[in-house]
Amino acid sequence: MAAATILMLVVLAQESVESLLTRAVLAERDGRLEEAARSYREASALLPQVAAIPFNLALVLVREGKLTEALAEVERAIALDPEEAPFHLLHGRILRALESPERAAAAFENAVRLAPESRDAYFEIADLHQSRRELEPAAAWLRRYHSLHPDDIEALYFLGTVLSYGSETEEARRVLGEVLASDPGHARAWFRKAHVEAQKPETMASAVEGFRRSLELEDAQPYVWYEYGSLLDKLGRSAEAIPAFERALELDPSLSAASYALGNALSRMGRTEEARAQLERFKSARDEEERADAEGKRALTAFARGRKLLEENRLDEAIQAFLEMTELNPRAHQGYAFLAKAHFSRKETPIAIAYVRRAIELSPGTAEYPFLLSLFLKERGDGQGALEAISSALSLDPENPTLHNARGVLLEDLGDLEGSAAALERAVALDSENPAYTLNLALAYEKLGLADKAHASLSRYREQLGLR
Amino acid sequence: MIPLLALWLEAPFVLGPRVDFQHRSGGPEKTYIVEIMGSGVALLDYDSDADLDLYLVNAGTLLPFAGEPDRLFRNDGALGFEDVTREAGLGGNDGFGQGVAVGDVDNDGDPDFYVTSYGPNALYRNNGDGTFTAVAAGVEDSRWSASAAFADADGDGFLDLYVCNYLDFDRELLDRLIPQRFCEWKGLRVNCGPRGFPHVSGAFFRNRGDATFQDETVAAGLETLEGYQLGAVFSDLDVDGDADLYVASDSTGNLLFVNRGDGTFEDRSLLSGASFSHAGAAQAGMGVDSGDVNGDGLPDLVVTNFSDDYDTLYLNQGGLLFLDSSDLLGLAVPTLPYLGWSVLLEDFDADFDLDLLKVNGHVYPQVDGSGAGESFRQPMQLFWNDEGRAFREAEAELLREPRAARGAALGDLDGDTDPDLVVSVLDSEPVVLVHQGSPVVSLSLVGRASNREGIGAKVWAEAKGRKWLREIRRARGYLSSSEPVARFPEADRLVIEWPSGAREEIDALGPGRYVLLEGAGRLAN
Repeated sequence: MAAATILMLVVLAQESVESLLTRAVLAERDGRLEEAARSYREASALLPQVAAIPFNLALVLVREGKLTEALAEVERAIALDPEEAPFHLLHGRILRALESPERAAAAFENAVRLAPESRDAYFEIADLHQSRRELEPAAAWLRRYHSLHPDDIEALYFLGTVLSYGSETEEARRVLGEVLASDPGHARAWFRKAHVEAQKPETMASAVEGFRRSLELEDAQPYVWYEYGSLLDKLGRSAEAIPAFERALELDPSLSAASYALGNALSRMGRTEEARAQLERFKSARDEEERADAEGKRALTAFARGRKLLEENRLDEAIQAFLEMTELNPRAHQGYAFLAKAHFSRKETPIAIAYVRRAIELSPGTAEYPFLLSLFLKERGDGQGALEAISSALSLDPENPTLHNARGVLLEDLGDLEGSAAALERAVALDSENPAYTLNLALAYEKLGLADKAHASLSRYREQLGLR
Repeated sequence: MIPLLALWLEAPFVLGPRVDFQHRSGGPEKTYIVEIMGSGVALLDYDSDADLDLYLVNAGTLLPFAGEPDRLFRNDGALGFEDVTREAGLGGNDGFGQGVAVGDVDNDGDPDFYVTSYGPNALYRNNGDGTFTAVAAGVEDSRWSASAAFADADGDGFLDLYVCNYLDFDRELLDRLIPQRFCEWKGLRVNCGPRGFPHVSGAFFRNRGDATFQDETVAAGLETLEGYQLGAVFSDLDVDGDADLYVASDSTGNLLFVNRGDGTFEDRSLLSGASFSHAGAAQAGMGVDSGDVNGDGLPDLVVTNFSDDYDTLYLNQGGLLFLDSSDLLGLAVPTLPYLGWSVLLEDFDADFDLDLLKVNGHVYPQVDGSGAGESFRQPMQLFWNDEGRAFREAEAELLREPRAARGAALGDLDGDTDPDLVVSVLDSEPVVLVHQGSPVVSLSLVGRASNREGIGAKVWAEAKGRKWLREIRRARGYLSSSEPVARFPEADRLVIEWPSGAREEIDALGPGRYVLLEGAGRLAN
């Protein structure tokens, strides 16, 4: 191929990439993430050597919650340009979210190496270590950053917080004291320092003052009010503690620690009946939380078991597991949806329909459920009902090519060939790589007598299958 | 300058003799929660030769299920321990043993004992001739039991029995529900529980007076499915002359039952302030002890908990109200890194106030080398009590050696009056620590109207212008049973309040071992 032709193709490709990237950015801005990802992918296919494109694609995929795909894209970006700190930072964040903390730490360290002045990487790595209770390395990274940026008060505060979780409580006090010397209006630092001081008898008096200062600066801190009251209570000042607990509960009625502490303080003040009522409230709320928590966990276990059994086609056992899940958590719409799928697999369509309707009731915003309903109704021969259901699904997820494809197929069955073609065109437009959609469209064109279009679609279909 | 005496006091123990006993509880991976609980130890003078002998409970294996025999060791009076299990007719209780509670259930002057198990529990009656007989006395609880405690709850002069039941563990069901056999904790694959397992109630057995018992859990108001019960202590918490019951519960609120005076109880857990931490959180209660740590004449409570949580010291405020004062007394921060089991309040430095000794050890072997910042074997901890104002951790090198310790019992093993210590260690030999203090007053009681060992009696020592309280009890800590004596450095006067309601006063006492016979009004050496 002549050099001029190649150049022309590159120019054409770049023009096309520019429009694709514009589309991607606009879609991303408007929250149309699938469209954004698709545009970035197309752009990347045209300019595979540009690292920024898979990086941006990874950002979109993270927003979509598609972490594994995001990981692959950011790793592609790093392979193309290993010296970009933001790539490593994102790499670390994704790995952390995917629960690969060691690899995440290595990625953050790369980010620090490439951008030693940047705060984000230091904070990320410190936060990662802190979350794993590896307090020494967390503090070491923050100290390293602090040596570069001694005026960054938030970094110093972060260091003080990390130290406060460990055994270096004196050092935590000193660091937080430094924060407060620079910024006496730092309400969180007053609280954090007081929190540390409240743990030792010899510094409790200073802690009382610290809590008070924090609350003067920022009144609407329910947990600070609770800790302030708690310390007063321990120091035998229950009468002063009670209004603090009451203020905490006023700001956050679900703060069970304050609820319990208030009950006990009332007891000690001889206000027995009020105490009893308060403690009963605490107990009921606590029991309810525990029950919900325990049942939630059991429900999730049953759900996981049911899905595995369903995959293994052990339908009876899967149904038992999903029933257990819905019994434990009667609002678990996923359980009803999977019950529907399992019964549908057993050709018990009426039961499947009943269960999926329950799932829809519980989660009316989930497009998958009316889609399932449409499949079941179609199976029963209720084409009109199926069409209504698929329309309902599309109103919830209008950019979903699967739904458009299903609607197209259904319309064709109902004899609306033009409507069918339009729906299938939309499906193909939304996912041009899916051969099933292309083939369905080709068949629809053919039924409409649009031979050229049918031929083109069929050729495309053959291309997609690698038959050309 | 630190006085020489103070330096010496930092290490009040020396390592005692080795006892030829190997504890075994499941495999090294500790796949199931049953395998991690350890077993207890009891100090009792089974042969009435005036020295304390040693009973060590053993567990066994789950797969295949096989119990390891318990062992009885006779003290030769010079800290030599000889295995006399067979001679004593015990044959080695071969259940999957957990705890041991000692008590003279028939008031015949020699100690009987009760062994709890993952499986049926058993009562062994002392025949008075150095042998025991396993008896079916109505206390054969077959649920998974942990600590047990004897006390005369109904004041009839006979010891009743409370048994902590932990949870309903069904290995086969667990394997079906969680085929991978592990749960996640800090990213590690560890054994599952206790959360998620069904609760079971503790059991209360009333002594009929003929050394047989009747299950009166419900009638006594002690049936509850609220906790995973592990440790129990009877103590007169409201100082009204009867034995109240406090139960340490794992991952659930601790339980406080107040005795109505007739051996029936009212659940005061929630209202007492001693159920949860100050923040209203259920902690992982394991071991428990009671004692007046601040010298106000009211028994306080201490409970050991999981690592990353502190051990809780509840100061008795009177009126059955308690205040979590762990941080106020400096106990919260230093106990935070360790997973505690047995805890004992005792005056180890002979200054009248009660110091605190606790043994530690993690439940997940997987923490070793995991980067979780914890270790499976952990040091013991001793805290000196600074006149009830604060606790300060002792720098005792001997205690720093890491172990997977569980049970612990106190008693004067070498006859020098001060409290020696035996610690049971998971999958290992026990540790004997011999106290090296100066002699103290060691007072044993012999009840007549009261139960024979005077369990539940309160002994007040007047000295240095103050009154110091001790309660006579055996069941303390975790799964274990200590010597039932009251110890003081000295006393200007002693006041004894017997469980029968009788009250006696004794004049000045110097260090030595004493026995007081109820109603005799004078001491015997």
